[in-house]
Amino acid sequence: MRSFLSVFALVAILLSGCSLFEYHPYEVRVPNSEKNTNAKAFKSIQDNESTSDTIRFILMGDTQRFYDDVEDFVERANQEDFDFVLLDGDISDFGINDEFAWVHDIMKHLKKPYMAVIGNHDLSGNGEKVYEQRYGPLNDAFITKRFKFILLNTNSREYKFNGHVPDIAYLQQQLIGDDFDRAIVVSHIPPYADDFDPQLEQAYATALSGSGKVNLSLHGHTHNFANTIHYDDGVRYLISTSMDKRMFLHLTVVGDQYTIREIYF
Amino acid sequence: MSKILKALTIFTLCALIITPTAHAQELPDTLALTKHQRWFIPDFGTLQYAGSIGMFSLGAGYNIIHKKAKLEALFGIVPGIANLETATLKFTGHTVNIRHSENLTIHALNAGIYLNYAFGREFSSDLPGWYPSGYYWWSEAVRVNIFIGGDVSYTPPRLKGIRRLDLYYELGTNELKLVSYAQNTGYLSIWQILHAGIGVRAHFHK
Repeated sequence: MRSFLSVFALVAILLSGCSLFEYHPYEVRVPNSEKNTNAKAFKSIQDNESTSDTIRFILMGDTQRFYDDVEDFVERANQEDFDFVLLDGDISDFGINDEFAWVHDIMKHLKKPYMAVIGNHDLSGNGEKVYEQRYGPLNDAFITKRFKFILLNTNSREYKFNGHVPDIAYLQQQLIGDDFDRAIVVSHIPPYADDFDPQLEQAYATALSGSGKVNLSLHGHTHNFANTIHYDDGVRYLISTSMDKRMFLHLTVVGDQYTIREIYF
Repeated sequence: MSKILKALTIFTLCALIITPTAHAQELPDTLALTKHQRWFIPDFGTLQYAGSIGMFSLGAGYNIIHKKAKLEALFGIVPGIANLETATLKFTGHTVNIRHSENLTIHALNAGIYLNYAFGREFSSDLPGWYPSGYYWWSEAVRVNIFIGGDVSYTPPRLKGIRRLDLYYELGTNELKLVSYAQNTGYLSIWQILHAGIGVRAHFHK
């Protein structure tokens, strides 16, 4: 019996490297080469900065369960001139390990790096752990060409509107500093949506407009394109569509000037 | 490495639990309950690796429908970051049986269904009250899996307390991966939504 069980254990160890032998949909199995995608993107962007002060990037997201469309997105996006891609959340639909792997498997074919913020669907199951392994901290930031990009977790409902999501103190802190001139904030849920903590909505809007450095707030979640100055404070709120709507946004920013292109595929 | 050690420890514990259970069935005839009184004693114990219900799962079950099917309950764990504990209720039907000899039967095609439940308050069964109704349509805690597989059932020589051993494999998927596949047959191949498991069932003397 003992020797039989030893053989079983040995076979199990041999099979543990094979992804077919799934332990659970909520397992957290991320190959080392696919960890910390955001940090790797930040470094790659900084290492490959051009001398021009123009930044070009693509805003897209809500890739959840739209794999065929995401493949077409990558093909179309690669025809554009851009420095990086921002995936604005809901990478996965059910927060399961395989979904994150599938999206990355498609997005890795972009000719430039991509980074992702966390969406409410990504927080289902063990998705938060998978996200942390794959992309990094839920709130993060990087600077390129004296432009700071702040990645924020705004999925308040997933934290039962506990008053700490989004982390307004983190946001305010990130907007202070003399190592950058301008900033852009990216998150999944826009502040005026029902799933954003209503007690933090005004604080978010004020943090952006009050900083004097932000005029773009980028989001996904609603699945429909929107382009508004929502609070009459000069800050533009842009929403990219879900991938099944087959559209993405191409942004060109120089200082406080920006141009937005809607690209359909 | 520590992960493997931890898994091995848990595996050994599982082995220690299953072994005395098997011996316990060897009661002297005078002490043993009459046959119809011992129906509740499981027909077999199960040890499974992977199969989307745990890294290792331990269970027990019964032969049903004149040994044409099995019903079993399993408890599974996933150590490490995922840190999961699950319970599974599994039905396995034998469709193609090849009886090679008294000591060896091959079930060439098994098919079945199992429900897996992930323990933990973070995995809700129903949508919690702070969500509008219909916000998420699936349950976080419960997965419905279907599978096909096969097994080799044989009588091992000189194994105390064990009447028969089944070595089985399963290839399955769950409802969430199935709906993902249905909508994305371009990117997803059937192999990407499948998961596999292997296991052993030890049938006790009753």
